[in-house]
Amino acid sequence: MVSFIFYLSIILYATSIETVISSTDGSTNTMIRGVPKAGQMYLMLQDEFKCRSTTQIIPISRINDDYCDCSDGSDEPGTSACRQSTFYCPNEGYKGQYVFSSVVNDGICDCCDGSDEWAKPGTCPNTCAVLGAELKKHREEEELNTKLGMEEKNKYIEQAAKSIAEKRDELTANRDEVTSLQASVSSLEEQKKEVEQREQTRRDELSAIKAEADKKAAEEAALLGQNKQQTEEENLQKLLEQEVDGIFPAEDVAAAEPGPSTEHDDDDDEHSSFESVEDSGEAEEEEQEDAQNAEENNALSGQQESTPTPPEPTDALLDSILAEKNKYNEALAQARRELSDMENHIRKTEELLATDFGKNNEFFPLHGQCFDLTAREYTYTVCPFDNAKQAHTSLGKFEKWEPAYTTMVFSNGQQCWGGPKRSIKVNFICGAKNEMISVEEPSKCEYTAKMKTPCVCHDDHSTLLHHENESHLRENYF
Amino acid sequence: MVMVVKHLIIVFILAITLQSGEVFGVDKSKFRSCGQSDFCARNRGLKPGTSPYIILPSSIHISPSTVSFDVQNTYFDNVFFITTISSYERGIFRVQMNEKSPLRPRYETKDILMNDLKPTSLAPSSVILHDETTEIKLQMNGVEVKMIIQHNPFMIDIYEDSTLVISVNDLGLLNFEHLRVKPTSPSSPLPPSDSTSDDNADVQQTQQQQRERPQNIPEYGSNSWEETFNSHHDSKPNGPTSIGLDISFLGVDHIYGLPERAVSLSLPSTKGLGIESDPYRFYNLDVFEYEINSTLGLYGSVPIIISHDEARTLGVFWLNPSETYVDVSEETHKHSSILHGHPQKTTHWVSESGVLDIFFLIGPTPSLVYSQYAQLTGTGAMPQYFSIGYHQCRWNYRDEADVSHVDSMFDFHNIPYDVIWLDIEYTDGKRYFTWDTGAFPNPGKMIDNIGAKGRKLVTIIDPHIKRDSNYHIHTECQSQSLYVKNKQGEEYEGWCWPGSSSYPDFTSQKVRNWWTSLFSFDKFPGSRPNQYIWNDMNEPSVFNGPEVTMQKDMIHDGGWEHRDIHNIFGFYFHQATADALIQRDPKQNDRPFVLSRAFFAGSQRIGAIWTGDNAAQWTHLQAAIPMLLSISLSGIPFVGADVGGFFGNPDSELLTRWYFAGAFYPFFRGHAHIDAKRREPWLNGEPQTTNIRDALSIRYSILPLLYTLFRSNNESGLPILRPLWFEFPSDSSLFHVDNQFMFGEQILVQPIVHPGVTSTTVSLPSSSTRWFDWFDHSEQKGGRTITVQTPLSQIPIYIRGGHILALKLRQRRSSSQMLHDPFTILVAPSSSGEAKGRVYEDDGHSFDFTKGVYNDIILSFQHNKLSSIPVSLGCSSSSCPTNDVERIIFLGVASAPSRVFSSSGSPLEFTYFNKKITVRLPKVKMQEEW
Repeated sequence: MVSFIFYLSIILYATSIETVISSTDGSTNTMIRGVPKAGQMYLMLQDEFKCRSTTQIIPISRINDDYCDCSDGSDEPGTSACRQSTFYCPNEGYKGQYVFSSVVNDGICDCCDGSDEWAKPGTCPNTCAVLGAELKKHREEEELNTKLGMEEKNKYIEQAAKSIAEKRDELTANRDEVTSLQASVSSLEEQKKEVEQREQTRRDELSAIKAEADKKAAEEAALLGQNKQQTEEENLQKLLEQEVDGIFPAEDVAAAEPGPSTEHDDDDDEHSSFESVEDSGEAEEEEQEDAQNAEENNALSGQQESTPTPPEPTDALLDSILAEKNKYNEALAQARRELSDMENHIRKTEELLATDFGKNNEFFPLHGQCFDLTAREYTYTVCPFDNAKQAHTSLGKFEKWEPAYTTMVFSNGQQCWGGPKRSIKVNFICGAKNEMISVEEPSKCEYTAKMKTPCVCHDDHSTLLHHENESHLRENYF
Repeated sequence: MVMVVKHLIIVFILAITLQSGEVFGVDKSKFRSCGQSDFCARNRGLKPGTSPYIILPSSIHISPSTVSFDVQNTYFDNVFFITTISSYERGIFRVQMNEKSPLRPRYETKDILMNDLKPTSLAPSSVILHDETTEIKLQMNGVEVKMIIQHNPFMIDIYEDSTLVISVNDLGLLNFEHLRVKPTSPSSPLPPSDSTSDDNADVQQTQQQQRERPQNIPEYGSNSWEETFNSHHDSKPNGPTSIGLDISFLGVDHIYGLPERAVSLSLPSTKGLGIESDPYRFYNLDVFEYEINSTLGLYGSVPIIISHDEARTLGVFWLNPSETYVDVSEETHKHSSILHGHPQKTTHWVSESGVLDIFFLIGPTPSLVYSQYAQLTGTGAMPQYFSIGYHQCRWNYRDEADVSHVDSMFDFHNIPYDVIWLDIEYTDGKRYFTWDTGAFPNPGKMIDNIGAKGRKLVTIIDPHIKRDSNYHIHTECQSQSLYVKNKQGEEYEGWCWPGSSSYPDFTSQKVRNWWTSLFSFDKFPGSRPNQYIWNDMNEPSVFNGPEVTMQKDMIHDGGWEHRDIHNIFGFYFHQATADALIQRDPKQNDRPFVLSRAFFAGSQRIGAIWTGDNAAQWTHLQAAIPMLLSISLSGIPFVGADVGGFFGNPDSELLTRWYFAGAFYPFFRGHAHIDAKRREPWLNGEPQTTNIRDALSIRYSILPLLYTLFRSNNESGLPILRPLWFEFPSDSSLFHVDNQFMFGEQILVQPIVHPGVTSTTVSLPSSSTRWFDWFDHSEQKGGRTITVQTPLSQIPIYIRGGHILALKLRQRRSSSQMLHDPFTILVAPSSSGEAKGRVYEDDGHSFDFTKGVYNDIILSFQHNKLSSIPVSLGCSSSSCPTNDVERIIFLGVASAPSRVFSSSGSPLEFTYFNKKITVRLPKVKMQEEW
């Protein structure tokens, strides 16, 4: 086998790379640059370094020697040699922070203690004390804010519990009422049926009498054969008279037929309950459609009215039965209406109770409220759990939480020319009261809003701390 | 930016959308076809035949540097043309023709050719006069080049080493329309334009002679003297003024060039059996939602054709800025018998006005053609270093908070970028040189904040000026009479972004001087030294004009009609803006950065151009490759297509693939329409954010190479993006390839331009070439087609054996922070085990490099020895620090070396793995000899 000898025509050059292990504070303790204190001990006790997530093992002297040995970048926490690596700045007096290795020694101050620019000491002034003071102040404000918010939130939870309990009680009562309404409807239906039977009996009797009379008349006609033609004319005249007298007034027919128009009223109620606050073009369109439907229904019932009613002979008993039937019809319509109103009411209450108002229903009090913000030339209105608007333009109806209990998504708003249907995401942050603080339109017709509310305040310190850790990198840039 | 759809027509557009369900696509009815343009139709209607143009032998005159003679159009009495033939140093013939005594002067293009262009002197022995022909014989680039000028009929044949390569007027389509007096006699009314007849009466009426009109002399109708298109009237006061000519490329199957349009790289024929297409058109237009595979011309024009076959590469440059059409066919005439069975490309050129001025670039190699063309129109401007990084644009970043947020999010996601852009909305009502103070109350501070991270801002400035008596730019234009005039001599008024607008006449030196004064920091409030400019809408775009541009009979400086100068209007505007940036701060001596949408031959001297308003569609990602190659082959290296596509919303796959393709566009910018969703690199979430970051990391790692390629272009005109045939000129299987390209001579790239591609085939040229995979460094033999996996984290990228790349692998937030970073040297040896490379560097921003303030280092690898030879170390100030070499990687090493050591004998630490040697911290500097 040929053995290759690579010959580099180079002039040896003394390394300019500074100390690998250096002192950050001039004390006798040497620290590994870019690693938090907690990690120092582990590294310093080793002779070898095992790369964090690969099988490579390198001598400890290669840590921070400005050459990327580990493919996961873990051997260069203090230099820019590895692309994937991060650098830890202690930021004494402020808070420790990880920055990307890409900003180490790039001439731009990223850490408040200036430790990311270690190659040229003095490049960055130490601003940690100032930032620390600001942070302290900010935290105090936040704490106060959180405290006030929590107080408010607890009230909300109490209020929600109370209101929800009331709603539940109301629901139970309403359900009982439905049972009794249903009973009275059935009883009225029974009674109506009984009257209708009597009506039928009387009508049968009347037809029998009429048949008898007709038979008698025919016999008379046979006797008076020579006057046949004249008699026929008289009979015809009689029949015509009977017909005119026997027609029921139109109002009676209408009253006797409750049917589709009541159902239609139900539909209308449903619409108005969901859209009464809407004045978007779409809602108007739907309303127009409803109007059209209503007209169609009227036309339909008109047809029913004009259906020829069989001629009825005048009869006092039948008249009294019919009057009784009308009474029951009216009573039944009334009872059914009450039942349906109650059922709607129950449905709404059920819907309300099924809405996701948060872990402890803390968002319950926001239901039914609207919040405004005027930004640039528009006023934005957000009604949680309902809808959002930019002036009179719909930005959408409440669709979902995403993610739960921090952001509400409103979608399917008014169509945007050359864009999507308008939508808005409302992000909640902790505040002592409910208040819209910003609305943005990062892409055309896709809005984002920020709103303060006590509902998202937490007094859980561990959560806060966790949040802070997560945002180490983030905080550097915001 | 595109033409606006104003509220008035929104209803109309909506109605169309509802009917057809088709939203995207050019509105063809807005743009003329050849048949709707009288000069094009009448020239295209000519039939090949014996040319009526002859040389008067007695007029032949030989001067030290030219051969000139008179050409007569024998169909007319007393119509003569002065014709001049000259040659230029690196292998160029020029043929110029103008009327001998025109009624009025004809427009001759200025400012496009290099000022120092001087014809070479012709040795007396090189011009030979025969009875029938005049012969000019020259040695150029080791080739004997012969031009044979036939006297009757007038024809030119060009031979290289006895092979006929170009034939001019072979079909006899030369048609130089002399200026004439409009026939007004009522006794001889002009026939209507749509006259169907060839009947002799018309011919006789049209001409003063009684002779029969040959098929290659056009007839003129009323449309030759005035014309209406889509209710726009063109008064055509000079009548017919066009110039047409056929030029045949013999023995070739492939011709290239003729940008700008979205067609395949190898130009398809526009005429011939079964082909019915409009000719290629040059008329700079703001084409809303342009189509793929259309001959319609887009925003820029470079009237150049490059022909290539196994034997040679040639170029023909037609210098004329008026509207121009080029038909391409396989039509043959005189030489058909000689060339029977051989391929041929015949081109028929027609320009509406001006003079005939053609350059024949005789090659014979691809790089010599560019050396020749650069001699005529110049090489590419050396860009500032930042401008070859990544640019982040959107119509529009709304306000200062938005700009600052986007800037910080790049840092948050550890994604590098160099420039953030502001589109038209930053202005106060589209009044350029002003700010919307509601959204941008402190622009200077905003720009300074960006600058604190070494980044730049680009703001748009367009050539239309709002007609507002309270707007100082408008009042200056009025008081100094700087606007283009209408035919009544009043200020021309058109509709553009600001509403009613006028257009400073950038063809005028006076206007350009005024324009450059507007950019001084005291005159442009809020402007900063790290702010650069974007010139859009400079075709010019006029929303209510014919074909969305200016009427042809508008009047420019010197009384020239817009028709004469249309295609260079945008060039002049671009140039004036670039000059303005140079002059705004003479102390800083900085190179300008100006992006332009319109362009012409020579725009490479000014700055970058891009392919305009493309769409977020796979077809547009595909089309970008031939478009960028075609523009690159036309001498303009600093080109790019908007990453992601301007119109519409790319899905995350398309966007990611586009970033990988864009990493190799010389001009690399992400951009989006105002109606499109946000699409900054991190918005699709993981894994796409990582993929896009990786694509950007590739770009930033090759910046030293790209800058060196720009320098090579600046020196010699060599394109940066090259078709494969450019590097492998004798492999005819590559002549049509336009899904791959070479990035310089070093890297082969095949962007993935289709959805759902998990693996693809890659044809690697040349069996004698070794190719090395960019990602895993594995070796592939050339001359084969291989199948490779194409996850969304990579596209096929191959390093060509024989080359050394100097890379900067450390990631930074922008290019300016990479200045001090160490290099990684990647040695990809050829089959003979050798490699070479070059590293050019200068201060990255000033003109000092023109005075020798630069470093130029040659790396070479031979006999297992890598060495560095600094050819120049002229840049030693703080702007050119010395950089360590942190690692050296030798690819394709068959077996492990026993030792690696430096010249002083010290052993160097290395690893050998996967057939590559990686030398760790070799302790050498890039800027030292070793």
